[in-house]
Amino acid sequence: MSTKTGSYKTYQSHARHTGSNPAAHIPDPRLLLLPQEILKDARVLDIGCNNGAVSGHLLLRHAVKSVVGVDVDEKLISKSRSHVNFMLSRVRPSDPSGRGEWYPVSSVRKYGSRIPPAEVCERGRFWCGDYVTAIDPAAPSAGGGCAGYDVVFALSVVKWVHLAHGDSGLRSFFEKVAVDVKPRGYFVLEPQGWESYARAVGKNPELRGVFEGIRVRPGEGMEGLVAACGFRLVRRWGVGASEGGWD
Amino acid sequence: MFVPRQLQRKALRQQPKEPASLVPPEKSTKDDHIDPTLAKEMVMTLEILFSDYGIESGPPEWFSARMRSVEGESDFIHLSALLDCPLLAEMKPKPSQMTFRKALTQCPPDLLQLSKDRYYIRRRHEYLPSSKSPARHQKDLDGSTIYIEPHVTGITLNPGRVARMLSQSAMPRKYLPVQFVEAGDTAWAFVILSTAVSHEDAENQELWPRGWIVMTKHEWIRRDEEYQQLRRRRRPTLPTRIRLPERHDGASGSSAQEMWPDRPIAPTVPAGPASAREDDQKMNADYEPGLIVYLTNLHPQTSKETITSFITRQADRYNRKKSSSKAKGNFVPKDEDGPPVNINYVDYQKGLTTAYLRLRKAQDSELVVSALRKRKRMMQDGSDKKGKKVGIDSGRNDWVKATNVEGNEERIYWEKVLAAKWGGKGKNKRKRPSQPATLDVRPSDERKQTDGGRPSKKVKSSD
Repeated sequence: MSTKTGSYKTYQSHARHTGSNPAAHIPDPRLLLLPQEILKDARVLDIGCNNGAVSGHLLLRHAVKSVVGVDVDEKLISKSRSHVNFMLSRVRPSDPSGRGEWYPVSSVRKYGSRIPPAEVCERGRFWCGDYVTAIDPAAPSAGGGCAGYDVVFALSVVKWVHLAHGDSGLRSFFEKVAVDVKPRGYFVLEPQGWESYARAVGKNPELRGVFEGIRVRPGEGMEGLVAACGFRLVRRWGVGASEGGWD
Repeated sequence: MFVPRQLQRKALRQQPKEPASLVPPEKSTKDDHIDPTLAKEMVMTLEILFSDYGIESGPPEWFSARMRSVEGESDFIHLSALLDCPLLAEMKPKPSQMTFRKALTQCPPDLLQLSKDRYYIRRRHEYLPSSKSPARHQKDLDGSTIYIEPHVTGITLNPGRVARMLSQSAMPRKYLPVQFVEAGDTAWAFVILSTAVSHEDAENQELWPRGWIVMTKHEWIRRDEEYQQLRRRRRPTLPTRIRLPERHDGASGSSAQEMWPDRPIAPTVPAGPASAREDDQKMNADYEPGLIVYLTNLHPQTSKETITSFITRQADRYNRKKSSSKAKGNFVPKDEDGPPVNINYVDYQKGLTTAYLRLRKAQDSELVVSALRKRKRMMQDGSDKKGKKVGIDSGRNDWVKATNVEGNEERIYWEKVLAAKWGGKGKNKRKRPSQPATLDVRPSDERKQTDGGRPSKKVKSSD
């Protein structure tokens, strides 16, 4: 499963880059790069939420109003729910210092989380499915009552969408995001490099067929595809074309 | 110019050998050095082991059994004898006698003294007896204890790394050296420093390693109690997750307890409302008596699988021997060697020398006890499934022994097992040590032998 969809444990974590697994209270450096005003009180969609680490940070440190996470792996969805519950349990109800992790991790682990699941769901909702093909009943693209998201995140997930569905699937992906994001909303995209595609194919040769048919490469056409789906590049971070922000 | 290879070789052979230098060649230092960070962590782990708290919290027999006289001086411990210390269990790469030797040469510790041959170590006599932590009042101990959440997970299990990172931070030097690190789990630990830590210092994030959450023990108690109250208020209908035995903070999994499971460790946190709640929620254990066997004298590096194989073999051989002796008098069919032993679960934690066996039937328990008593086999190493016979004349008494757990001990054990099953989730369950091995619900006669009859503080007063 993980070699097909990239649902590796701690995939979203920057442990992949630093070589160690950061504690839950360490902020995700990618989120710190973003202008915080776009996140404040925002409704956020986290595509490929993995274990909910990014969603938890968004809720805890970036003052977003609510997060909806989606991932293809049922286990990771379950993890995301408990992770967000864990992170919210650490916050003092009226925290004058504004620091998230007021209660020790030992207390939460020892006694269990303090927030009822229903309350967690109000701020962090997670659903399992392939974002390109599955339907979130609450999403505007599905005709639900949801008013769309202020910010949509696709961090380190485009490669897997691309390898699973090819160029046409990638286009569908961007089009669906364009529907889900509010007008004047933001789409934060972290594409992976082409060499990373090759590594994924090396691990799972079943992906080779789609891989060989890919014409839209990151840095060579992907930006154009995103723009064709209705987005405008606002800002680029990181090295080369590896990271970008769209609206 | 092209020179055929054969001629090249010939020319080489004909070269006069250089006269041997009278000065011995400089020995390559490459092999004598290890990574300085690793060296420092190894030395600091040893300093923690030999610290006041380390010595005080450990059973004297652990040290005394390893102490030797070297060059007329006593109290030295061979470096190889330290390798099974659980404090080193999470160190990577795994230390060896040689890496210890190199580390100690590279970073000579103040607290420790290396023998002339550099294979033995002891605490410097000028530091003994210490006026520091061992006899410190509990209140003082709490004052010098800080709660930490490091920036990465996992390092709390490596006391040397925690100590190294603290020593390299901007924390006031008066707090050093680190006396002990009690790991809660991979995310948090209690660190006992040399002097009391002020609240201001603990609050000042500049002083501590970057990204760490640090608070005094008192502050931790305050937040912990507040969390419990808040949790009860917000989730009155949900059950409290029950953690098993007491440790430094009342939770399980401390390094000290893992190291010295037979020693009672006084909980430094007063029993809070949650403890009372836990007591209230104790279930009426409904269990079949006579299924639990307590094993002692296991090898500390053994595993559950090895224990299973070891016990099964002993029971099997015992049965075989019994039937063959019967067969001398009467005819016994070959397949009637007696029933094989059925082990449901081995309750064991790496690094301990004790374990609990949960067997399928009471007859299995009796069989295990009888087999081990008769066969007197000791485990020579962690993977020893056969065991070595301990001769009667050898004067040794360290064969693997089994005792039936009965009465109150048995009831407490089952309550804890049920509580663990009821309260834990998969991941947390894995993080916890196999509870009963540290529960100290041993048969009372044995507890008297090792504890001098003191009631263990690890077990709550439910008995």
